[in-house]
Amino acid sequence: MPGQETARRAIISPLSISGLRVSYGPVTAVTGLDLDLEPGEVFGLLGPNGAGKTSTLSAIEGLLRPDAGSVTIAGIDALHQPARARAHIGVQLQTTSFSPELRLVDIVQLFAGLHGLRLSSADVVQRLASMDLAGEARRAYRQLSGGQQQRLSLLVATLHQPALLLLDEPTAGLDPQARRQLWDRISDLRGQGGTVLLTTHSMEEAAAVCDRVAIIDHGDLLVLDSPASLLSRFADDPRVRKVAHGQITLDDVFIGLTGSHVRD
Amino acid sequence: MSATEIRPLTLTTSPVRQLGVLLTADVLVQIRNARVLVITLIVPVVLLVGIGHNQRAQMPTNVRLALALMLGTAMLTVITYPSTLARDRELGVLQRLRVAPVPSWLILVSRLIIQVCAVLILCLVLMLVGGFALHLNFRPAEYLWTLLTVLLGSALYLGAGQAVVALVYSPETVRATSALVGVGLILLGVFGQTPLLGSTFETIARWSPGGAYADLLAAATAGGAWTGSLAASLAVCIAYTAVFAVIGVRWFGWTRP
Repeated sequence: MPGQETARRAIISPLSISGLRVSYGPVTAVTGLDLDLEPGEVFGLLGPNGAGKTSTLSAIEGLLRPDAGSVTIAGIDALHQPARARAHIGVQLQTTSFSPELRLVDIVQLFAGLHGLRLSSADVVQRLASMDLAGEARRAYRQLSGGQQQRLSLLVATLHQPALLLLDEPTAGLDPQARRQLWDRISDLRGQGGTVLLTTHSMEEAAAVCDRVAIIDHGDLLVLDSPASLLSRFADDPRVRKVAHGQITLDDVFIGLTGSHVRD
Repeated sequence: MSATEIRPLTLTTSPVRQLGVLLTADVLVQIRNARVLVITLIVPVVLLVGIGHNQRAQMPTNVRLALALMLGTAMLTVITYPSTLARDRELGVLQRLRVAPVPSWLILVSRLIIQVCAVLILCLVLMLVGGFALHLNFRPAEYLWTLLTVLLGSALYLGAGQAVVALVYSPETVRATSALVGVGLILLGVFGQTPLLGSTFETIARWSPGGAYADLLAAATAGGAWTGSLAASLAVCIAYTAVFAVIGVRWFGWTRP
């Protein structure tokens, strides 16, 4: 394979964050966050609007430089070697897009090439088929539906089999069928040993696909556990009981811990 | 933490190969925007050959060619380039590229190279059309001089376009601003060549970015001798390019603030 492939076996954490601090002028978005993801897990980063989720992801992706802390991706210091670290991650941004004029085959070839992969036309069509997009291969990106765009984005993010897949609100705006399909794909990725870090506002989604979730607010980590453990841990918490309607759900735990007031 | 075995497929590739991939995609985008390309090509050609015989007699052929080149340069660089870049910034196209393992500067370099190549092709087309339709005879040295001048003009106007997209964020405002700047540069180029609006305005226009570029273009297409005045125009062009480039790089944001 062209490019200097160094397929390697590693026993390393896909993502390790320590003391991450991000601020925008006087406003602190993330205050000393520590996270350690385990290989092969789906990890949910939950929080209300402005909690610091996107800032955390942006720091991991190398799109912003944190004030303090460290980010290590697959053993690589992402703050000092961002391009090298980015070779190990796949990213689906919240507001992502590709050039509207490019066809799907062009987009796949572009991002494969940037990652050092050289794909034949048959390879490209095969990859598109894996996302039910083979029929759209010659169509321009602007002609795709929202669900198709989302699937293409996920395909591009996973072309190079990244050690860590970052999904920023991946199912926002999708219909229930497309959402379920995406959950199945995330489960498939986990089945193949991939590690996924996703942000979501949907507690149903977090409960359905995440092995562990972290709830953050005002840049602070409030709690980190599996969805099932959170439910049992906070079942009798008065803050959670106060907002629950009947049986405790992850929604209740989330609102109980982060407050009921609406965030902008 | 518990550590299980993972198998990341770590691929590294050189910036040169990445640039090739980016250039391919950017060329495809240009080709798929064929309407814009055709208009950009046709308008200067019409300006060059479409002027009636009476007006032709009043305007030397080399000046018409210089004007057509100036218009083409402005359309491809200061008008089209910032508009496309602002649109892609707004859509998140640039941000998506930036999370790939590619240096951010390479994304812009690829786009700049495409624009410069487009201007050089336009220049050759105009010179060839001028040769066939207007019986202009260029010696190889004149082709080279004109191409080099257009190359400098592309850098100057692309710098101006980059500065526009650095200082303005909304794609609609960028489109309007770049059109204004483009028209302004062309008019300054025209008025720098004529005392129509008085000698003071002529002097100001002559030392503007548009005026200095027009000066060099007029000399290149006329095949005249190198003079001290042209050297001054060259220095002015380089200085403006440097200023615009610094503004364009220093204040350019990849996302809407």
